[in-house]
Parts: sequence; structure tokens; C-alpha cells
Amino acid sequence: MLTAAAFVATLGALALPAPAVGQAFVAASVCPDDNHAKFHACAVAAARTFRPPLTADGKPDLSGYWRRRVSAFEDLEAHPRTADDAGGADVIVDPADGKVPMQPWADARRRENAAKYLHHNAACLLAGGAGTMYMANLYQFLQTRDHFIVVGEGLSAHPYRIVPVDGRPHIGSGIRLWQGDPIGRWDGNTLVIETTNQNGRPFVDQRGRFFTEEARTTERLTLIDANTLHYSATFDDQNVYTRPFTIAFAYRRNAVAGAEVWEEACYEANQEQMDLFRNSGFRVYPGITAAEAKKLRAEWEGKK
Amino acid sequence: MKVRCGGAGVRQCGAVVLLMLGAMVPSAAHHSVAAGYDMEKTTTVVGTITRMEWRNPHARLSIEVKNAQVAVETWEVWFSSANGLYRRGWRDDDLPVGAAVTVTGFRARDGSRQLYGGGETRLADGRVLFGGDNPEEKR
Repeated sequence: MLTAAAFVATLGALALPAPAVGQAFVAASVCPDDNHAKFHACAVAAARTFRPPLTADGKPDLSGYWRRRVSAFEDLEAHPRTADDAGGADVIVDPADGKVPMQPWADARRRENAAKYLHHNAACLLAGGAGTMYMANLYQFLQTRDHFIVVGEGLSAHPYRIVPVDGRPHIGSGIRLWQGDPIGRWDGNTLVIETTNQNGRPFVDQRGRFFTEEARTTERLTLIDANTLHYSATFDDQNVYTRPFTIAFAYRRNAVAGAEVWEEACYEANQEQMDLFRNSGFRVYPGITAAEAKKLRAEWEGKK
Repeated sequence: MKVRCGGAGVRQCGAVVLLMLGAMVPSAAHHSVAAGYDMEKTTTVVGTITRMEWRNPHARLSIEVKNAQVAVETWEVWFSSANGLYRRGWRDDDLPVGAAVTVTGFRARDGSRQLYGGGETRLADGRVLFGGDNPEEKR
């Protein structure tokens, strides 16, 4: 029987080898629930007592193959399973209502965005720093003394992030990048990544939520057992949101033997799809600057 | 709902109609698939394989389909990536040129003869290949 689940499909969709019947995709966890709110509460408690394995230079060892357990790239808020969505609970832990605190003009704008523009991934463009962390299916995290490295595959245009953890400052303010400038540091057993210098062109999710180049994102990764990472990201952009908000979810260690991140040449053969999108009236999201956001907000408030 | 059953018997067409009922799920979101394909209805094509291209981000299957007037139409069926299909168990010799195949998917919004084959692809020997994400792996 063909079911809705069988039709959940997105461009660039990848599926790793299906495990044999009864085999799990991920290892067991002390906080096994994939519901973010339950997981988050459990993870905060578990992190207080877990002593993580360490690298040769004495830092928590986050390396390995990991899988995300949420479909936050579709919608940070709760959304149902449909032919076009895997669906799931919201991933927002602050504010407590599970809603992205969009300014009123920005929420109107994001509805227009969702109706007019393609998600950047459909055009093989990058997902942004934090967005990359909930776009791929399979991740490989690598560590050296001075860098934390993220590579991924699946739904992701083959992204990577190279995060220095050597104490260097951010790059100059005039440089704007799709993935931003991530700088890492260790706060106890937690890797904290501050990302600035973003270009404001990726969406935050496929509902058209967005940010400007003045956004600052703070991510935190903490091992809560040998096979579970607690991830959170706080988005701060006073041009768009009424207050900073935080999402949180789990990465769970891959349990499928022989995992590898493969080349995913998104540009190899995407032109026909782009032609189809254009024929259907969709354009690639052009992004928004802080100056444009301020102007649109003033116009919105002037109408009221 | 449209059913194209060129090259196949009525019995097989009837089976396809039954298969399609479970897939009629409304969708308002604008994922990349929904942007290019109408996910509110499904279309089934039955025809003969002329080419399979293993590419990223989308593999493409070309099928010759006989329409109601017994003219031959070429349909292009897009799947997830070559990587994804391989990881789902698809192999090159599953889809040989000249083989009969039945694909159910979503038709292109621009009306062209293109499908997004996110559902099942049924081979002449009865095997079924799934072209979409594996939801249990994805989440």
C-alpha cells in the first residue's frame, strides 16, 4: 500500500542503506525520546553527570558519524506529516510556547517568502551555519586541536563547516558569507560556536523564516552519553525577531555499519529542476539586508 | 487524479488506481518538490525504460509511454539523488533499457511530461523500489 510516508520527498533527498529488519539507524541513548522538549529536559540533567571521552588534547571527543532526529529544516515550529513534510513537534525550547518570535512585519514577510521563493537548498545553495546542522541526514564530526569540522550528506548540497577553536577573533565585519564565520570555544564539556558575518540569504526553515546579516547565532554541543549529543542554537537578530530564541534537539550516533559521507554534487544535474521551478513561478530567495529590514519595519508600523 | 496505463493491461491499471488512494495527501508547504510538482494528486505512468541516468541531486528515468491514442510519449521521472537510490538498494541492472516499469509520482506543475517519483517504482518482475526518503532514517 502506498502511503503518505512513502511520498515524503525533498530535492537532494538521500537515504542511507536501509538496515536489516530490526536494526536501528542510531545507537541507544539515555535520553531516547525524539520529542525535543522531553529530550532537552532529559539532556540537561544527563550532561551534569556524564564524563565524556576525551581527545588526545583533553577535550570532549565529539567525533564520529551522527544523525539528526528532527525535521526542523521544514519548520522550526510543530507541523504535521504531509506528502511534502516528514512533520514533527517544534524544536523551540525558548520561548516556551514553541513559536518563533517573529516581529509582525517579519511574519508577514515570511509568508510572502514561502509563497514566492524557493528554499535555498533547491538551488543547491548553502543552508547557513546553524541551518547546516539540521539540513543533512548524516553528519561526520571531526576534531583536531585547533578545529571542529562538520561534513554532511543528504538534503544539504554537500555542506561543510570548519570551526576554529584556537582563540582567533572573528573576521572583518565587511565580509559576508553563506555559512558565516563560526568561532568555537570550550565551556567545560560544551563546544560553543558563535557565528557572525552571515549574508542573510538562507532561510531558517522552509516556511520562509529568515534573518539579516546582523544575525548572531550561538550553538552549543554537549555529549550526554557516549552516543548522544545535545545540540542547541540561539538565533539573535533584533531586525527580525522580538527576542532571541533557542532551538534544541539530539544528534544520535549512527548505528549503520560502514557509514561514509559521499560526494553529493548538487550542481551536477540541477538545471532541469531549476527550469521547472522558474516555469512554476518560483524564484531563488534573494535574502534581506538589515537596512531593508529596518525600512520594511518602519513602513509596516507607519501603516498601523 | 490521472492514470496513464499505456502498455499495460486493464487489470494492472486497476491495481495502480488502488495504490494511488493512499497517497492523496494535501500539501501547502513549499519544499523544493512542492515548488515544482503538484503534490495534491498523483499520476502513474506505465511504459518502457529508454534510459536511466544516475546523477545528483536527482536521478532521471526516461520512459516511453503509449497514450490512449496509442501514440508514444516520453516521460521523465525524477527521483532522489543517485547516492540516495543506491543506499536504498537500487542498482544499475534493476532498470535496464527496454524493461517495463510502473512509476507513481507527482506531475510537474508546468504541465510537462515529468514526474517526481517519490513513491514506488514497480518492476516487471514484481519487485518494488522506493524512491523517496526513508522517514525513519531522516528523523
